[in-house]
Amino acid sequence: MRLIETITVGAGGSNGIEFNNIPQTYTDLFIVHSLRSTFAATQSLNFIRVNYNASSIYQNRRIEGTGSTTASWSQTNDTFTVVGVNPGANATANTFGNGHIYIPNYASANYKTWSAEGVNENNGTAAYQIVASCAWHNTAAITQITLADVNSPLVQYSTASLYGITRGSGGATVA
Amino acid sequence: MATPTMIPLANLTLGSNQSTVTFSNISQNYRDLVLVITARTTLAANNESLITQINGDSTNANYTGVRMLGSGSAASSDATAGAGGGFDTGYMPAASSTSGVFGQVNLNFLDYSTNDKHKTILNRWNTAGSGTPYAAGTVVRWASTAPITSLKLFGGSGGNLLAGSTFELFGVIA
Repeated sequence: MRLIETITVGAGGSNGIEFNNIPQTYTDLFIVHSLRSTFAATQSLNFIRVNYNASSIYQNRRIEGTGSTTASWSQTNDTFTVVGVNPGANATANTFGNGHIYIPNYASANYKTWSAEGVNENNGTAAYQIVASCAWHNTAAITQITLADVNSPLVQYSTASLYGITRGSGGATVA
Repeated sequence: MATPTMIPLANLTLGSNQSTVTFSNISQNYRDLVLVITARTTLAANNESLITQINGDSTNANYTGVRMLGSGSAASSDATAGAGGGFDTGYMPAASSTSGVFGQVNLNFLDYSTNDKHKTILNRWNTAGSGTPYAAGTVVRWASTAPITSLKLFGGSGGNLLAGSTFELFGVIA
């Protein structure tokens, strides 16, 4: 696993974190993020969109726990996929959510899938944990990723790191 | 330069349909194993369970687990038992599912090379965009203290693994 890029939001916040010109030399991608939103609530969902593609071809299923309830949500033919949850402006100060996203075979000629987990423990009465299953029904290689909050800009010190993972060779048998 | 800690051990992309994929003689030089899979099967159904068998152990009773499952409309949790001679690794899209969609599995075999504990496997699998989309998390215990030296994957209902399915094995340095 090799670090490709780390982006930290500066003063004034940002509408999103963008990884551009992603090298096509790896097999899989892995993103780790720590985000907080300016949205006037305790929490707000975050999402990714790839290649600036806002076509209605993103699919998502996720399970969610809050510490007192469970739920499952879906997105069908949407323009992005939810991958986690951020503390919002009304959450305990200085708390940021955490999450990671794994994208296998991002440069292949098949439809793309990714898995994601996100949490926003914030010392409040409710904190969310999300496990998400995502798909982008497009065969293009992923060259760009936008990570952002569904509702509002990200605050300063929100950060995300993009890693490239290279597969091995051989070592398996089939029958 | 940072020291790499996730080391690629093996990789396979199926060029034709196959009934099984096996990683044998797995190096014992790492702390954990990570197995990343994108798979689809040929079973004449919407989905088929992908089974993982450890060290040739086909005793279902040696695999126990807990699962949480989200369909998009319902969230559930249940205890899982071994099945098909291994443990259920996820419901992969099969022949009747949405064309072009492969399921995704991320398996973590913790402390796989030790000989002093039963093995714990963390599994995240997802089938968004398929005919039966799910997000799922599972933890499985393999009731053996033996180090893990081989992994075998196959369809639980007799379907073959479809050409284009990929299997990537990594070792994680402690």
